[in-house]
Amino acid sequence: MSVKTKKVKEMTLDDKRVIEVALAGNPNTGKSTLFNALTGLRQKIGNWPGVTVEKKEGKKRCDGFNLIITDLPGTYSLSAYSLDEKIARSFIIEGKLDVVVQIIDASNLERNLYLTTMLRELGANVVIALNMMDLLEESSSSIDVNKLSKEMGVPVVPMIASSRIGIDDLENTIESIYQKEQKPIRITYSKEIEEVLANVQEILMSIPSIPSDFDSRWLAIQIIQNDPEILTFLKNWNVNKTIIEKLLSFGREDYEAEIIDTKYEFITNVTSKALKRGEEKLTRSDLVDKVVTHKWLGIPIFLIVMWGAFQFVFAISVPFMELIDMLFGWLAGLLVDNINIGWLGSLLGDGIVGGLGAVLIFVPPIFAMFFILSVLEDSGYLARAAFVMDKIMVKFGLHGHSFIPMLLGFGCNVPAIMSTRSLKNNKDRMITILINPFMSCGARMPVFILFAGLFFGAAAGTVIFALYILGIVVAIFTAILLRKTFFKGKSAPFIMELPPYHTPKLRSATVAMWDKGKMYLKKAGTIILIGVMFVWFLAAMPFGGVEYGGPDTWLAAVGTFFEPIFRPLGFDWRIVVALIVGFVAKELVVGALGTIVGGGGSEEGIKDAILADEGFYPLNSLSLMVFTLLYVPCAAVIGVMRKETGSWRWTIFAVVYSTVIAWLFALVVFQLGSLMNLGL
Amino acid sequence: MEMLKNTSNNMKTSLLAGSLIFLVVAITEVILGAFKIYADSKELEEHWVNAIPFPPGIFTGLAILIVSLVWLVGYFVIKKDQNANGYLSVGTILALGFILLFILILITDIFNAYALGLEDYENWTVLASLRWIIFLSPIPMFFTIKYRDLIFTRKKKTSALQS
Repeated sequence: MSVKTKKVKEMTLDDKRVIEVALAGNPNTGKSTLFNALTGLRQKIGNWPGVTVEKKEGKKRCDGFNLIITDLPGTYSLSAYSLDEKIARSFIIEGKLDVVVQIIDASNLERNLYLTTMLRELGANVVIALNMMDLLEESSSSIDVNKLSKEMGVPVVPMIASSRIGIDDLENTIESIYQKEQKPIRITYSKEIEEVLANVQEILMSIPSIPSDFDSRWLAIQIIQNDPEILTFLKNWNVNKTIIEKLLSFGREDYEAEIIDTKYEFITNVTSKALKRGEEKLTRSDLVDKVVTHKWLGIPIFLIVMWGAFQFVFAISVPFMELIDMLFGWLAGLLVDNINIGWLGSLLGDGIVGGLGAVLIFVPPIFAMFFILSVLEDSGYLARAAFVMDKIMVKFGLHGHSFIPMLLGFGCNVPAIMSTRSLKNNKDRMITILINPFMSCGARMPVFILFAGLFFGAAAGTVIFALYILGIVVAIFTAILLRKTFFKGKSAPFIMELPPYHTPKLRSATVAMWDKGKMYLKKAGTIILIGVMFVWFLAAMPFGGVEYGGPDTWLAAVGTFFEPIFRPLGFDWRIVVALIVGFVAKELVVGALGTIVGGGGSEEGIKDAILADEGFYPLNSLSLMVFTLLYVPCAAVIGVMRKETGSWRWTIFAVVYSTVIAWLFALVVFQLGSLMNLGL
Repeated sequence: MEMLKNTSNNMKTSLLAGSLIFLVVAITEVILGAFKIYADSKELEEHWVNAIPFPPGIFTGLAILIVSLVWLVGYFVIKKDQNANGYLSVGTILALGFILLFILILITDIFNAYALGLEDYENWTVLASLRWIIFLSPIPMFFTIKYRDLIFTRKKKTSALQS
């Protein structure tokens, strides 16, 4: 391999060889499915250096060797225009990689091979994982795998990743090629370009500081296409300024188009030999798309799918919630009965079990929500939903692509805000980021379920549904406002590739649910645990003589200080304290209330304590739910907003704006309700 | 050719019949559902809506209405000699999805009532949750059996993988 010197990494894990692999490929080719199939739950999720783009790494133990697999962002090329392309290219160039597995959608061979030509020109050691062979066969087309392998000069493994067919073959192929050096392919360009390339290569080869594992032809191709990143490379290699200027003078804008054309000619030549096209006919996906993207039926179908999804979430989580509730109730009783040291019993019973129990009970609906969203995403339906919603989104100054981040916001606003990077237009992206916190995330659900269930009986479901709608309405209102003021201009045109439909796989949905849901568990074990202990500490201080959570505690002092601001909303100091700690994480609102009002750690206990308390009644509960819905979700969201917008100004704007809006809406609800004599 | 025409005619009749039956069910659901909300708000627990063996619910009614509209549009598409397989498939898969959802609700209800013994389930009977499944199943099941190959892709090993 010419990109870097190959080294055999011996005896590092389990005394087995370690092969480092990167998964590359176009979006929607089944890359994540293959990654999950290879690594299962042995995944580590982080960020790529310097950016908030998610980086997934996983391990796979095989017979006689181990794989360390990195999932690269989905890209169509390595041209270094978008952030995803830059990340993928840098990793392939600079990472200590042994093999790049490029996953290709077999039913869309021509377009996918463009990335292959770039990887091969780069000199990467490539294996083609020819995925979705079932869809290829459905379209009556066929690929001669041997011819494709011969023409591209790389091994080709046909597979159906979603059914785990071909995974073993892929692992064996990776092992068989990782020490073999693949020569970069050489695509012959026009005479003029070839002459320019020869001149540039001659200069490059005379520069001793350029690492020998960089292919000079690849570098030359990038230089004559005015690749902006190459200048950084040259500077890093301490290349003389005059030589850099001379090299850059070879660049011409029209070379890039010519090089792309030649690559596609090369690909057309390959596909003419390896691909036998079937009769052009409407596929099953096309027929289904006619219905789910129908101009009249599309939106109603989307609405009932979402309604069904929410029904699923509640149906499946109730028994688990009851079991958790029973467990914490039993645990709290056990602690109270057996610990005689007053403060310790209070810390464990009121603080930790009370606070954590109130939060952990909502793990089942949150996991169920992530599960159903993964199923919808895997099936390919979410992409259609974005397409259908585009017509509506545009009317509000938004973009079709904004829809998926908004939908993901119902699960958690953090990944939802991160997913806005798929929006190319910065104004569209900023608006989508700033309105996302109004989408009611799973962490707010505990507050709704608790208070709606307590005070609104049979209408609880309707109240919660109305809150979700209110969040959407405020988001739309904010989007219109932002579009007409700070982000004037039209949305970018909506172009979206609709992936083929797949039957969602239980395993992949479970892995995705665990990946996203474990954030909630991690929060419960760290920030929420610390939070509820802190609340307990304030509620118990000063020691001796004060009633736990009573009006003479430090907690009451903090709450009382801010109470005048919230009194018009119907909140006493205890609700104020819960809302303040809710700035750290929304789960803490219920956790803190559980700690303050008591209830012995079980949901029933907290409910009884709240019902018996005169400070809680239907109208101020409704006002509390509205405030919780609209004020800024949590510290993690503030952090990710700062990173994604790259601006403290906009982050502070979002925090202040959402808090003011929350205060105003809660005020209207409470004052109007009071005037109409409701809830008294 | 004659066989194709017969299949098309059969599907047309099936779509129209299925659609109309679901339409009647949906409208009844919505009306009874609205009435039940009214009765509940007035705390009329002994009202006749609770006594009839038909499970009322506005949202369920609207969901059934949309399935029926998908089939109805399919009927008009097939009348124009166009391919309506997508309408048949989407409508049936949606209906089957709701049946699965109601089966899941039935299972959790049984668990809540008998394993956990929750208070809310004191007057609950298996039949109360089973009714939805009984009312909704026949037509989608009929479509699934009759048009299985059009609705679902059967798994097969591809020749490319065999080689």
